[in-house]
Amino acid sequence: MKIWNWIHKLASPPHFYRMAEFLVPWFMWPAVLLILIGAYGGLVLAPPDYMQGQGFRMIYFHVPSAYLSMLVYVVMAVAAAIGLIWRIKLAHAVAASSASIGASFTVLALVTGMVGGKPMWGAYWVWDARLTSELVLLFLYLGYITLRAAFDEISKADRASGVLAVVGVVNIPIIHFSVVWWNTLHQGPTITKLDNPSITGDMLWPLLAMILGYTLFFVAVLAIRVSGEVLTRESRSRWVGEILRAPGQIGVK
Amino acid sequence: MAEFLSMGGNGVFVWSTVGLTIVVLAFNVIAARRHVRQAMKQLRPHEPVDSNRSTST
Repeated sequence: MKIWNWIHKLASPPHFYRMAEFLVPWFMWPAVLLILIGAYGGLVLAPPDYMQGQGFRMIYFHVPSAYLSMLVYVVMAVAAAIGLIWRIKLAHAVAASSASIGASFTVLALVTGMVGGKPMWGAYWVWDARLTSELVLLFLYLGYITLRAAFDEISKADRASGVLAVVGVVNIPIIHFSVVWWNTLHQGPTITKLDNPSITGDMLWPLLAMILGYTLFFVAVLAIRVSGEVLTRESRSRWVGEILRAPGQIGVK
Repeated sequence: MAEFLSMGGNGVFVWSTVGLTIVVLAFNVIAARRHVRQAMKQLRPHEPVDSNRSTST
């Protein structure tokens, strides 16, 4: 029983707002630091690839964005499912706030992939399973955003877009395993084979720093967005009035 | 330095991924903050105006 009380308190919008205000810098600055360290490690310290030379360094920017495009979708789908099943408003706010973040990193993954594909494969785009399923992910995000915009009532938008988010999650394992299941120009899994990653340590650690940095960055940006989202959703409640009279750092900066 | 920038002839491709990454990261921070500011701006008119109170420290 105690844990349920705790979850309810944590998921209550005013509590979330104050917690987010406190936590955002604690995620944002380590994220910036890790991304800078990862970028330096990837661009300068990592040895050149024996096949792809210096050009391989684009992976330090392509892989984390592709990873985040999928992580954000999973977060969005899980949050939408929680919102649909237990009718927790904060969960719907998390799902709604994730979509545009996820869409932006999907675009980044696609475009950096195209830019890297040209020198490595000789083509910006090929209609293989990995690229196509990642493009489908972008359409899922855009569909989700468009569907939400079609409703005036937030609760209806939550329910309809929530179903879309949950159904669309089947695309995530398809993206991940596409390079295993189908023939492709795209390289296979490299670091998720944890027992025997096919990458040397000097090359691996900057990538892991980037991935961790991106994850923290997502948490920070999501927390900022959800803060705005709960303000709109709870506009009639007293705690929002109090915050408007004395806005903290999220609102001012 | 020039050698570092050229990235073995792939400089354009490597550095454009870096640039695009910076653009998307910055966009996310700016858009998120604007989202909160707009939420606050939309809510303010509903608040009772308290013109008598001055903000003294």
